[in-house]
Amino acid sequence: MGIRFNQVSYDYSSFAQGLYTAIKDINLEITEKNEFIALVGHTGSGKSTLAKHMNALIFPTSGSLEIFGNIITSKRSKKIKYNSIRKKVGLVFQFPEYQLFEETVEKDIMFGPMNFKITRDKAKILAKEALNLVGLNDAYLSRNPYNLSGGEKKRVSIAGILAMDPDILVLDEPTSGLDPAGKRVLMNLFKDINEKTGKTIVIITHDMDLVYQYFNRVLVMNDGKLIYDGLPEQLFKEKDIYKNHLDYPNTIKVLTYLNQQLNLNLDVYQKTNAEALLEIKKAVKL
Amino acid sequence: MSYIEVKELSYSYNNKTNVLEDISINVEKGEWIAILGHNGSGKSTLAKALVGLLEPAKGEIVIDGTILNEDSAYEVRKKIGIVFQNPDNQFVGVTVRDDIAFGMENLCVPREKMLEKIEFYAKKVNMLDFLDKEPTNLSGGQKQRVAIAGILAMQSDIIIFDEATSMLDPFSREELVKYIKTLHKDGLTIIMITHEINEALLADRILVMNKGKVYAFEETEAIMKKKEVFTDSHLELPVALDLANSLEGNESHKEIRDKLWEYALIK
Amino acid sequence: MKSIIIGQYIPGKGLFYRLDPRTKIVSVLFIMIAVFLLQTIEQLLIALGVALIMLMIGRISIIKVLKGLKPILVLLIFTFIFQILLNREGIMIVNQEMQLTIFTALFLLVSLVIWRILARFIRYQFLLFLAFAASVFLILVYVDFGYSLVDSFSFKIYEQGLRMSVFVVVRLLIIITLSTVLTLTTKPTDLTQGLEKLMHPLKKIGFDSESFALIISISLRYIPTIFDEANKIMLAQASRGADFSEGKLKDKLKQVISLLVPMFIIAFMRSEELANAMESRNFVPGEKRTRIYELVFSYRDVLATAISILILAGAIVLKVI
Repeated sequence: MGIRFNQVSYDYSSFAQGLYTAIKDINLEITEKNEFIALVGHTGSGKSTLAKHMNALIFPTSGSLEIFGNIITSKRSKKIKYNSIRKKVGLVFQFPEYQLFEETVEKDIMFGPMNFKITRDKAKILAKEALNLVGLNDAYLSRNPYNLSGGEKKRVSIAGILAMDPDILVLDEPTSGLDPAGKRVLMNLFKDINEKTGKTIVIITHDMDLVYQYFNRVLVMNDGKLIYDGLPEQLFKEKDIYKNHLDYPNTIKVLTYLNQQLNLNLDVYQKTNAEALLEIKKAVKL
Repeated sequence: MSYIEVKELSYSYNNKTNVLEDISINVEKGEWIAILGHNGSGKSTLAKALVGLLEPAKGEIVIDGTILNEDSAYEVRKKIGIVFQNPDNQFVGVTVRDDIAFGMENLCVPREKMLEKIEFYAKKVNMLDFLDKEPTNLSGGQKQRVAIAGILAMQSDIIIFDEATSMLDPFSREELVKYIKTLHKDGLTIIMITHEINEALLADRILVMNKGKVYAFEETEAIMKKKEVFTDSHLELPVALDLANSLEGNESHKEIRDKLWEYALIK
Repeated sequence: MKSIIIGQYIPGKGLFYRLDPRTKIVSVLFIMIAVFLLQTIEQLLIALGVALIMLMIGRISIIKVLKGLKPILVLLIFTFIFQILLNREGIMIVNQEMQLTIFTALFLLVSLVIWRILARFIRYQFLLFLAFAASVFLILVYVDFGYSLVDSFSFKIYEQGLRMSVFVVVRLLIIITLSTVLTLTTKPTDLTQGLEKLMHPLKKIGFDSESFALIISISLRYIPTIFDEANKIMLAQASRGADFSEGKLKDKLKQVISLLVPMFIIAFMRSEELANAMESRNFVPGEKRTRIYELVFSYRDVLATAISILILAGAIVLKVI
C-alpha cells in the first residue's frame, strides 16, 4: 500500500515554454506508515508536480502510479473514485489564500471532512481537534479566516486537511512565511503526529536546517529527475552539493568556515547549535 | 541635516490602537537600513508613511529637506520609491516595457526620453531581453527587478524594500539581494524591511520595531550583540552569532568568536 | 491561456496589420452600419463577396476567420431555424404533413441517443448534426403508425421565411467576419489605445477616457494571472474533497463558492496593493500623462477610412432610393 511511482513522467504544454517535461521517469516508493520525508529541489525541479500526483490531482503522462491500491495512469478510469484518494492522501498547498473561503475558521476546517460525507456534528468536533492540534485555541473557531495573520492562516489551512484524517500527509512549504518560533512549533507538531499516529508525512521545504534536524529520508529533485533518495546525513556529505542547486545546513557551513580559517579539525556534521557548540568547546580544550 | 528625518511620527487606523507611536529616526544618504520586527510592529506602516501613502496623525517626515505632505507628495515621490512584497500586485504594465514606463508617464517624461531610459534601466537590471515579455512569463525575481527599474527610471535614489524577497524562492532571493548590494554600491539609500536575518546583516544600521515603537536603532554589530532584541521580536540569531554569543566570557574562545562574527558579517 | 485571450490576436503580416487601430475601429463601425442598411439578399450577397475580396487583399486566412465563427455556429443555426418556422409570409414553398405518435416519439428518442453516442467518436460534429436534423425530419414525416399524441400538423416553409433566414444569417456572417478581422489583426493594447484616443472628445462631457483605457489595459494584464489563480484554487479545494465534476446541486453550489470567494478576496487585496504601488509611482487619476506608444496615421489609414465612408454613403443612397 502507500504510494508507488513507476516510471512516471509528466509533460504539459505552456504558452511560454511549449511542451515541457515537469518530471521524468520517477520511480519512488512511499510506505503508508512511519515515514518522515523531506522533498527538496530548486524551483522548477518538479517537487510540486510530484506532490500533486500523490493525491491524484494530476495524472501522469506516461508510467503509472499506485495509490493505496488504485492504479493511476494517464487515462481517467470510471472505476476509480479519485475523490476518495484525496481523503487518504491529504495535500496542503503553500498559500492559504487559495484555500480559505468560509466566514469562520470553524466552518472552513469543516469543509474538508464534510465533503467526505462526515456529519456536521462530527465535523465540528474534528475541526476543534484539528485547530487545537496546530496550536490555536478555541477562540479562533469563530474568527474570520481573512482577519488572521499570515502564520495563523497557514495553521488554519493545515488544520483543514488534518481534520480529514488522511493516512498520508503531504505539505508544500508549510513553514514558509513563519517566524522561527512558529517554524519550530509546526515541525514539532508534524514530528509528533508522525511518531504518535504513525502517519507518513512528506514535506516540501527549502530549509536545509530543518531537513538536517527533523528528517530521516530526503528526496532530491533536480530538473525533473529524482536524483537522491536517502539519508540527509549522506546527502550533506557530498563534496559539491551546489551542482544540485542545493545548499548545506548552516551548522555545517559555519563549522567548515572555522576549519578553513583557523586550521581546526572540527567534525562539521553537527545538526543543532548545541551540538556544534560542544564540538567547538571540545576542539579548544585540546 | 539627515537625508531622511522622521520626527515623532504617530499613526493609528480608525483612531484605535497606535500602529506607530512617536517614531523618530534619521537616515543618512547612501545608508543601508534594515528594519526588523514582529508581525504588527508597524514596519510596513512606516514604509507606507515614508512614500506618502498615509497621512500621519502626528509628527512629520522630511525627505531631502522637503516636508512630506499632500501637496509635496508628488515631488517627494520622485526621490523615493518602494518595492512591495507581492511581485504580481505591483506590475501594472502589459509588458515589461510598459511597466518600466508607467512611472515616467506619470511624470510626463517626453516619449523619446522614456524609450532611452527604458533601454538603459532594463539593461541595468538585466532585463533588456525581456522588454516585450508579459508578466505571466516572468519569475517573481524578474518582476521585482522590473519594479526596481521602474523606480530607478524616475531618478529615485532612495528605495524601500517591504519584504520584497519573502515571496521568492531561495535562488531568486539571493539574486535579488545581490542586485540590491550593487544598488547600494552605486550610492542609493536602501531601507529594507525583512524577516531574514541574513539580509539584515548586510545593513549599516538596524532598526528594530516593537509594538509600533522604536525598540532599538543602532549599528548592525551592536544590535546583534543584544539578545533581548531577538527574543522580544520573535527572531532567531543566525547560527554563527548564536554560537559566538554562547562562547562569550572565555578568553580561549576569542579567536573563534571573532571568526564567527567575521562569517556572519560577510557582505 | 498564457497570452491575451480576447479576440485571439494572431500576429501576422498584411494590410490590416499595418493600419492604425483607430482606422480599423471607425471603418468597421461604418461598414457595419452600412451592412445594416442593406435591404435585399442580393445586396447582402454582394457585400459578402466584397468582404471575402477584402480578406484576400489583406491576406487574412479564411480558415482563421471560420474558426472565429465556431462559437456562434449554434446561434446561426438557431436564428436560421427560428426565421424559417415563424415567418409565414409569401408563397408557400414546402408543405409537409407530419405526425407525432408514440412511435414517432420513440424513434426521435433513439435518434437522439444515437446522435449523442456518435458525437463522442466522430470529428465532424456539424455534419453529424445535419444528419441528425435530417433524421428528425424523416421520422416526423414517415413514422406515422401508432397512437397519435397530437393531431397531425403540417410543416410549412414560406418563401419569405426562407429569404429572411438567409438574409439574417448572411448579415450575421458579415458582421462577425468584420469584427473577427478587427480583433485578429489588432493587439488588445493597441485596440485599447485606439479606443482611448477616439473617446478623447468625450472628456469634454466629463468622461475620463484615459482612466477608462487604463482600467481596460490593467484588466487585460491580469486575465492570465487570474486564470492561473483559479486553477490553483481549484486544486487546493479539490484536495479537500471538492469535486468540481460530480456531486449534487447543493454540493456544487458550495464548491463554486469555495472557488469564487478566494478569487474575490484575492482580487480585493490585489486592488489595494496595486493602488498603493501606482500611487507611489506618482499616478494621479485624471492628470496629464505622456505615453510611450504613439499611434501614427499614414496614407493607408486615410485611404481605408475614405473607402469605408464611401461604403456607408453608398448604403445610405441605396436605402433612400
